[in-house]
Amino acid sequence: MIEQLIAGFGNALTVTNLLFIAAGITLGIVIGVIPGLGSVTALAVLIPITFYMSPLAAIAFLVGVNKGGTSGGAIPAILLNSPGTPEAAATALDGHPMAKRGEAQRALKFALFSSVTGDTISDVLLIVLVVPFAAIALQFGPLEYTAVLLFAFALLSGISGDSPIKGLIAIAVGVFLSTVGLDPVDGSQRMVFNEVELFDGFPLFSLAVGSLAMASVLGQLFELWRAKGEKRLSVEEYSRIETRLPAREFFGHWKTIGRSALIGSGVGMLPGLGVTLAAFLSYGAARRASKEPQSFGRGNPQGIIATEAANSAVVGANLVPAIALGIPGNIAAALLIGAFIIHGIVPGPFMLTNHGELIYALFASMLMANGVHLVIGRIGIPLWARIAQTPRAIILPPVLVMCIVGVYLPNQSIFGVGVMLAFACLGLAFQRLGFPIVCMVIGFLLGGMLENSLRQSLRLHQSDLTAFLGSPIALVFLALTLFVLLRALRRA
Amino acid sequence: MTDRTSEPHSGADPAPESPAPTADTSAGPGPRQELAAGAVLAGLSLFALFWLIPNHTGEATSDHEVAPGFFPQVAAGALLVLSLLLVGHRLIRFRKLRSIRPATGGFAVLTEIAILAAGTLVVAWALGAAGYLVVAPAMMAAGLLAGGERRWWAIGLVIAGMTAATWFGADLLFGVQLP
Repeated sequence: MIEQLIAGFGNALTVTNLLFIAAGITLGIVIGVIPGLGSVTALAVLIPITFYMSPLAAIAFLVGVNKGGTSGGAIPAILLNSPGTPEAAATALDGHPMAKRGEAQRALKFALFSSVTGDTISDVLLIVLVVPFAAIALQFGPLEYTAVLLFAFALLSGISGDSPIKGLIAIAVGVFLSTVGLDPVDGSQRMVFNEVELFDGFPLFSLAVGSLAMASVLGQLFELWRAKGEKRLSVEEYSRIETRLPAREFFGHWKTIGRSALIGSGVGMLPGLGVTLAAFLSYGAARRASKEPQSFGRGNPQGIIATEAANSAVVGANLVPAIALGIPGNIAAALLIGAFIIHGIVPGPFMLTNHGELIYALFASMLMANGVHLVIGRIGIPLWARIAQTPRAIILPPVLVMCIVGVYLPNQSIFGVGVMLAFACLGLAFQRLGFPIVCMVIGFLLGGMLENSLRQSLRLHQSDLTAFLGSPIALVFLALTLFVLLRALRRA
Repeated sequence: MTDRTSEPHSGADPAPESPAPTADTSAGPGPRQELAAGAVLAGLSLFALFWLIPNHTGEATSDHEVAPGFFPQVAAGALLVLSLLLVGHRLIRFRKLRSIRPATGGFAVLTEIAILAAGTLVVAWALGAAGYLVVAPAMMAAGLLAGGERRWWAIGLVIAGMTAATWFGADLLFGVQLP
């Protein structure tokens, strides 16, 4: 593994790659600091542009966007008490009080250093764990894959906290939509109405950009319209009373850093649990472990460290199931899987065998990206504060146009743009009615895989569904699926 | 994972001075809206099961092969069952849910979707008929005005800058002529 990683550094350490990583991180932070947008929107809008890059540059760029976007949300949370991302809400609890007492720069440094440290720990775990995970996954046949996918869907349904039924409905919609196109076995038409452009099914990125990015932007524009504009937020008390943060002081919190990074990594490896849960779980754990729990919420730096280290640790860890099994840990990983597919890399246990050189170059890029993130994040602190104050009314309309251009560029197809617009309507409707659109996108992405594994299972076992009982692994995952679903339904 | 796109304004301490929307569609649906959504989804899955899939999918090529319509039927069937479960659950707990989550902006949601659907049809048509240089400025102008921006120079600057940047960027960087 060490030799492969060194070779990976050899492939990844080029000026072009570093520039793409830096561009990705900068764009990620810029989009992450705008409340309401974030790494998912940034990824959805920018993925089509990577069609023109080499696979390594493209994935490294997108990983940079994801890293920057995840940590960028902390900046408005600390300066404006207006978190750029849901998970950064926990950062605001202690970050904003620090800013108010004149320690804004220290709070931003705590957030940045924690984010980079958590991310690095999680990347190391990814590199160490992905091979054993993939080795286990190689033992899986179609029966086991079917059971694992059903288990992933059961976990994902928990996204819609108050109603797992809504999560499952969104997944079923996504799976159904994935069946449109030519049949994967005999090539016969399925619900395509002789429309040639539908033979390959709905274009993944039109669907993802429309339902995630465009729907989110349009939803915010409708809210601004209804509220007749927004109150301009100002960076209050962004003074320079105390700006220094020596490394010794930061690493003095090593227990909180380590605990939070492990919580974030653990959460990131399980599909559907997500960044926000990691941030709040870690915040709670830090508070419980503290000798002064009453100081949390009043500007305790450990609150920032716990949140930022945990939510950034999710970024690397959610690639473990994505690379080993082809099952994304969250929507960002789902979009990255889509990017892998665009560049001819099929995620799953054979990915390491078939594209080992590229994957280790990607791991090296991820580690390098943490260093770049630290430099760009540190230098840019005053600039991010300015961007965070830009009114959303100015930012959002250009993002709409970026969505159209991004989807049009790869295939120069108006059909793709039309599909994106249709899914923007569906996405907004889902958003307003409380159906998690993320479940629909992941259902769509994994629907084809579920169909293939289920049909292979049925063919191998002469349509005998009791075959699942003969596989201990499948049986365990089916039992877990049942347990998760029953528990969620009982709570609903 | 939380769908961040559905939580655009989540924050620890929202600004108290922000004007209160008259019909806050972002506050989450009430049980009446969820009932309607469940009923519509159940209707759509019945439509898929009894018309769309039987009439628009091929037959199995051999006795040993699973029919192409099998998996879409499984998905549509699951959607039907889950939609009915949602309707049943919301009916049984209607009163309790209504007291916790009063209906907010049901009509406003429909209005938003209707405006958006009409807008998307116009954009899709105009993109082919009139081209990007007409559609992009018009879209951005509508977005800027809807967002509450009234400074004419800012509107002009954003529209001109973004349209030019994307038009020439697509051509120079990717060699693609936008429509």
